[in-house]
Amino acid sequence: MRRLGGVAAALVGVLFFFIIVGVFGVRFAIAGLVVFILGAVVVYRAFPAEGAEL
Amino acid sequence: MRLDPSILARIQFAFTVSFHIIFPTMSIGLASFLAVIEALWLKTKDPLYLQIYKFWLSIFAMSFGIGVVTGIVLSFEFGLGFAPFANMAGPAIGSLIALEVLTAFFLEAGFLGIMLFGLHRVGPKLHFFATCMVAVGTLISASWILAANSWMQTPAGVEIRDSHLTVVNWRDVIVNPSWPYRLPHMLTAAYLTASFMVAGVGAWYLLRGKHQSFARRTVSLGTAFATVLIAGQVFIGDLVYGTMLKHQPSKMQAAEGFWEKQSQSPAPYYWFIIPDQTNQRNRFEAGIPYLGSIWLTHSLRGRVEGLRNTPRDRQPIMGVVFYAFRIMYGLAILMFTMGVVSLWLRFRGRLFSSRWFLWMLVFMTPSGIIATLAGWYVAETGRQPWVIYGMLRTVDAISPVPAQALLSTLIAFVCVYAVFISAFLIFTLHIIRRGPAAAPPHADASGSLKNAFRPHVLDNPARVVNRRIA
Repeated sequence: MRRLGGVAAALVGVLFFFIIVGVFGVRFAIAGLVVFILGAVVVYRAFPAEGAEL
Repeated sequence: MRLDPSILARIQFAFTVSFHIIFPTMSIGLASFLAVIEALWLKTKDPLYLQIYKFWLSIFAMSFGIGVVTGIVLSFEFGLGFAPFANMAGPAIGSLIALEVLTAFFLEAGFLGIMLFGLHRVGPKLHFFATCMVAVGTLISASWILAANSWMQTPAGVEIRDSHLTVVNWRDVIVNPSWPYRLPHMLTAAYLTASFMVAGVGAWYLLRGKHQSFARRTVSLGTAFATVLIAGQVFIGDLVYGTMLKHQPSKMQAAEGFWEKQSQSPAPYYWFIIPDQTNQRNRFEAGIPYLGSIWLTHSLRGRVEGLRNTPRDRQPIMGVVFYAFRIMYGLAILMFTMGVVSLWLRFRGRLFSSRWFLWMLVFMTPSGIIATLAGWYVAETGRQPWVIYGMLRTVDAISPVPAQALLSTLIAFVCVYAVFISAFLIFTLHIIRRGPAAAPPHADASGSLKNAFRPHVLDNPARVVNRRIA
């Protein structure tokens, strides 16, 4: 399951990269950029990470 | 052996400007990073932010100093090594460089002292204001330099009258076609450089099991900034690509490694080629099928224009432009991957415990600097054989200086800069080895100005305060 999760994350990353470099047009690129950044901010706020065990 | 002065002059400028750009890239990125960190300290009162600020302030100060010193050299090289260029371009870019001094250097000079030495002498808000002013100064400085360089890439707002270049529209000179895209591209590159440096040093501490709180906070901040920034950089980079394809097609033709006027369909994306400039073909090429069409033409079967569309005497050297572009782009893909992986690890709660990821962060510490250098090589070598695109050829821009003079000064530059980089690396590695514990999380006033400049006080002002109190 952990590996599957990693593969899914990689595929999402590749898809976002392709969208952001403008493969599907500038409008999609801007929308993709906004979604990626907002998604990243949501993850940062939900998972501050510093409390994680080492 | 007969030495060619034109080659020596170009090697000298390439060496000095390549060395120089490393330091402004760091100082632009670190200045804004420090402003954000100080703002967080003022907002949260968390002493850990102050410790991070003090730790990175020392490294910022050294990069800023070397950046200023090595930048001054370049202005002199314009006049000494490239006098015909200075003579022609002076009316346009001379004013831009002068404006950089008037607007950015004066601002930085006014507040840098407060930023470096004032934390224990002025109030925290005034100190924060000084940090912001220095950060703004670096941005203004970058804006003027990018305006001058972008004008050389896509000249506008000038006319040739009686064999002299005359500015007819200053707005067009400054806001030339490539400047609005190249400026954010460079600034984002500088911020990415700082982010990966900060995250890389934090990752090193985590791997060594030292300074855990500091390391966790900096890895968390560095990866967060890097993830957001690299997404923006990929987008901005695509805009820069489109602009340069329109205004300097030969550069992008060389960057993609195709020679044919129209490539095969579908076009592959080459990662490795052995170009043969004489016969206008590749001796060997290896790439990913379809990807060239998808990335470069945004269609499944699109064809890419090759370098034969540009007359031979106006072509840049493909090998240099191609590999510089691949290094920059390859590192951007790697940075993006690191950003996505960091998000995934954060989500899984393993951001600080995945040693392979921490090692990757350590290896990526200089990635921003390498990518920025590679990007500048694309920009400058891709513009060849022009120094001002379409207006002045590089061979016509070189001063009639004897080869011996150029060679001796080149050797002198190499020796002096070797001392600079050695000193920078020794002191930076010393600061990193010493760790953030040497920068205590206090911000008390340390006493008189006379006492303030003594080395042991600069090294550790809070210790002096504590001793006095004791």
